[in-house]
Amino acid sequence: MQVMEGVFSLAVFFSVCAGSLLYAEPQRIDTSLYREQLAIDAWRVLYLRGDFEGLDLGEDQGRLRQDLRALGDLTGLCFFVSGADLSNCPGGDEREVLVSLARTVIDAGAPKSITFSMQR
Amino acid sequence: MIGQSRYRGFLSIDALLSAIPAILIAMALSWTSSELLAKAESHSSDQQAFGKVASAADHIVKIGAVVREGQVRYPNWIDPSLITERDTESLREALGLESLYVSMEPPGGAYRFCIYRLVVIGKDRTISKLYVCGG
Repeated sequence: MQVMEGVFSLAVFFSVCAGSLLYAEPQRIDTSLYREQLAIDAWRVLYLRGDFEGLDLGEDQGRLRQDLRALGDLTGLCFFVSGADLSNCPGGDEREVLVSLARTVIDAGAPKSITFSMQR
Repeated sequence: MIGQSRYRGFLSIDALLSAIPAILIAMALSWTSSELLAKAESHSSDQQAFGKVASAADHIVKIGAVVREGQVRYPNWIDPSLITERDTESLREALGLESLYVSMEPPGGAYRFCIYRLVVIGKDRTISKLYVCGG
């Protein structure tokens, strides 16, 4: 009887051990810092391209829009500029935000706080 | 005397039968913990290698291969001619990576980790990807 109990306990124990190993979710590599760097890259690229020179968010931002599209085509990601409601993807502000950067731009001669987001 | 001997025999057989599951449980515990430890070590090694590749990319994008005008550096504005095999090799050695690939072109071979950074190149500042792979 004791042997039966022992064997039964062992079977249960083995099942728990094997189950915990088999079904334990593999730990993912933390890429949060890289994603942050990528979002800063996108902002830097727009800045280096002169997209914020003489900015007037009230007007059509053809160049900025075009560069956002180019960034999206290269990365497969969506970029959203709040305040101007500019995005390379439809439904810009409804997507999952990966990184959000608070930035200040000179809009029509006055400083304006905007948020630049990288989205999935 | 005979009765006592029989009694001791039963005791030892019972103890033996109880010991087998205990030994097997100990073995299972040992196996599980070693498996978990191996998994944790592998993850830690992967995380470290990924961090090094990301650091290499960050260095290249901010200092290593950027356009310079006098004392002024332009992060993310890359001069592809500054991406040399020698610099890549010294960076690989400094970071303790087994391999490191840095190029404006996607890699041909397989690497443990491959990331890209967004940069501009040339006088017209064309938007491009800088590929950094390694492990």
